[in-house]
Amino acid sequence: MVDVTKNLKVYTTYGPKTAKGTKPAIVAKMIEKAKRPLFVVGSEVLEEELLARAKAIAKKGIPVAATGHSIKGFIDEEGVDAKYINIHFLGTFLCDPKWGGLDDNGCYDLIILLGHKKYYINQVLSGLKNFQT
Amino acid sequence: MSELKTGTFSVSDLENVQINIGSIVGAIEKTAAEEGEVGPTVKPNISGLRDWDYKLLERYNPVYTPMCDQCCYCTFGACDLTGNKEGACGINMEGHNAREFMLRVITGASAHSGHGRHLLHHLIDKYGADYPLKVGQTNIIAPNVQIVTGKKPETLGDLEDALDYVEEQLVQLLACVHVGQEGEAIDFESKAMHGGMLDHVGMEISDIAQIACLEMPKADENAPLSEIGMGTIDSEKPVLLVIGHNVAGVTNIIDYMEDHDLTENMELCGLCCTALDMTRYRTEGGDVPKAKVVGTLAKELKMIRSGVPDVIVVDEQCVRADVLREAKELMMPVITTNEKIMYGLPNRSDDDVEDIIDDLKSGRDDGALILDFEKLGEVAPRLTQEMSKIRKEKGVVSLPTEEEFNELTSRCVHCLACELECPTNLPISDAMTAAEEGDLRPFEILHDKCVACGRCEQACPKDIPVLNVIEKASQKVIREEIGKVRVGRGQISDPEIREEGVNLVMGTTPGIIAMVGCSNYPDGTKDLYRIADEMLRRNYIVLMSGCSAMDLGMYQNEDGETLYEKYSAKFQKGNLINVGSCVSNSHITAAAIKVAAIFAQRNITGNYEEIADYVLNRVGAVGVAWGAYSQKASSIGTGCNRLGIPVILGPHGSKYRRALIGKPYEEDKWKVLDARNGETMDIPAAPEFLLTTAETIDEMMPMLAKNCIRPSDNNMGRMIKLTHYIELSEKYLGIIPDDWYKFVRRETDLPLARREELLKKLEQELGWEIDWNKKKIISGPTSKLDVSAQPTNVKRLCKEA
Repeated sequence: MVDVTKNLKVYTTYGPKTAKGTKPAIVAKMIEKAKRPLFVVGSEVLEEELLARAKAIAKKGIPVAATGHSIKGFIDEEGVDAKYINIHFLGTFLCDPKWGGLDDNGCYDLIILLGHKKYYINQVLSGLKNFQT
Repeated sequence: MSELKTGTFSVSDLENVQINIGSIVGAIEKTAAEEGEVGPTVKPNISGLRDWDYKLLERYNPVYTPMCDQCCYCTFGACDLTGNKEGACGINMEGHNAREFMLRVITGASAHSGHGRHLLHHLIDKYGADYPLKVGQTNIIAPNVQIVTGKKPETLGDLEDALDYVEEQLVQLLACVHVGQEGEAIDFESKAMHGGMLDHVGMEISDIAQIACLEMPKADENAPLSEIGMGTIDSEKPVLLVIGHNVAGVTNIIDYMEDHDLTENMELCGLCCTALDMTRYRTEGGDVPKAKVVGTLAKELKMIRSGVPDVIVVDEQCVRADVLREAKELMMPVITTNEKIMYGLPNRSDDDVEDIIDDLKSGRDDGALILDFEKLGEVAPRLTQEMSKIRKEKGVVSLPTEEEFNELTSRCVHCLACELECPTNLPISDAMTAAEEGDLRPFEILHDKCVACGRCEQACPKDIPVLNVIEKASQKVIREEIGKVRVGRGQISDPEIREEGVNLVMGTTPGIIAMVGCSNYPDGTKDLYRIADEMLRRNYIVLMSGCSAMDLGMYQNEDGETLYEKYSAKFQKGNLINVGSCVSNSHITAAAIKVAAIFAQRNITGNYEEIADYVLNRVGAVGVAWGAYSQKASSIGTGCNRLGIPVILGPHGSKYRRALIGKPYEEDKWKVLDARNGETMDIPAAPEFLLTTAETIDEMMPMLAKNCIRPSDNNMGRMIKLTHYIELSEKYLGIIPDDWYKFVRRETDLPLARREELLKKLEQELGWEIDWNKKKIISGPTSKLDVSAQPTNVKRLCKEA
């Protein structure tokens, strides 16, 4: 198998400190270790194949923050805990330790993102990178 | 002792001497005092409205999303500010990004005010300082000027004083950008608000001056329709294309064409706001527009690359930097007419017309700078006719032939460099593949979504002129690009405000949706049509301006009508209004100010804080800048924000680096005072932001309805607004919003048709007490309905204060 993480150009962050590519197994470990992970899905997740994968991930028990109009893909989906929130608001709240989260159980320690416009999610990540506490 | 007054007098016995008395020290204040109340902030300086800004910023948190994480402003740096670190000068990431945002705001405000200064010089020179400012049926000629400067201008000359103030304040704001000045983000935020407010004064000056002098529609609900679209241009005729925002010089072109019977023989068309303002020129009273609109900035490169224009005239703002280089390739002479854009061209302002035309048509010069508008008026149309013949004889073509097209699409190696470079990441590679197989539809779709920035071509390792390929593939749809746009009507009149003000404040007209800004849309131009169509059907008043106004006119409904043809332009619920060009955005804030002045009888003179407080708490208006791209869009939006009007941007708007977002879970932030007694009132979180972005149109629809909700809504108004919020959420997101109950003060606030269903939800899901016999809410709501309450955020306005 080719290791695609080598020399990977990441287009979702700019600046002296940028995102790095990593292997799926490491991502899986990070999710496993997280106490309060949040799966953040954007409107582009509504494409059929991607939506099926997103649902499968959500059914592992990770709460879903459905941004844009992506919530449409998760309505009445059994085993999926999805709530709508605007991504710009979410990025703001994630930097606030006082935020109770989507379920009033506190803020999150890991977010997993899927299905956003690159240039838009770049800005949200920039806010998190610089101002999360 | 007699007092000196403004005006003009001549000295007897002296020939050719006329003395003009412009402004007299203290005269404005004296006149204002004589006329009645004057508010506490006549011509506020940078700190004059700081307390108001702080009130807003306490609820609406500045949210920074930096672009590059570095500061490169001075030679101490470059400094890495990642993680909110401090740089060498001591500024941190928050402060730097607030400064960056403020810089964008004052850049935009300067562009409008610089435009205003140029127009004012030109118009005073042509019509005289005493020329009256007639802008339609109104006693408040310049609401933004009056609320900020305390002055009630009546003549062109009166505007100079207000513009002097704007310019002085902008210099003071720009000084704050310098190293070692402001250090705290919150004060950069306040300064940005100041810049935004100044912008609306500058815009208003620009627009009322041209409305008065250039016979533009004056608050006219029957303003005519104009043709729009690339498909409206007859390329068989000589074509003169103008680009920019300042119509001053173009009026001379129109006059020359009419005087020399050229109107039928050649096409005069425009891009961006100059185009909109050309169609307003001398259409007061319903005359036919004298030019056609091609479209927005996104059409600039497309129009040039089409090869259709024979000559291009540019003025200022939002004109591509490469117009001359692009035009040169296609033998189109370029005439620059404004010192803000000169492209390195020789100044021919003092040269003979024949010499200029000879040099341009022979190709000795690629273009000319002509600052003399009389000369411009003659050169441009005459040169266009000459160049048309020459270009036809030489067979100048731009777009590839069929064979070349096939070769170009097959040359693509699908490396995706273009897609990564594309600001919208459009699927160019797949469209190339489809075109190779004879299917042009993917490229036709790209044509609508593509903003024609040309970055794909810079990225292509195979030197494929991607934009030319898209445009060649889309010739059929381009020919069909024919629409109608309402000519900008200018201000909202006093009688209209008198009639509609009560509905807006009580909420029975659910709100104003003001769609402004540029054409950097995430998903093509039809988004605007979808928004307007939906909100008009729901009886919102939809106001349009600038590039958004143009793009809306490009789509027809199933009956072949544009929305401009379907809806009246009267300021009334369920109507569609185009106020005009970029600078006409001032009429949107002016309408809100006039609601306070006319409906509520509030004094607006030098009384910004009180009026902004009124607008924030009572006027349900939301701005939408779905394709905001320019610095001017940021200043327009920020001016709306200071006046209490929230604005939603499209996803590209996140690149402005700063939003203003409230936190509904911070309950102590969602309170107002009741001005009758100073008591605190709980309010729901609406508007819940002053500036934010939405990911998609579907997401934005319910946001619009929700953020038109205001504390002053009566029960009928709240019911109407809540109905739309719930319905739009269900229609576009598929869910009932999880905060809908927070807007319920009593059962009459609930949507009538669903009252029982929603009462059950309140009881079962939220534990509210319901009296089912009377179908009344007994307990549960956090905010109360009191139609007599006077919600305010300003303590001094309370009787107890």
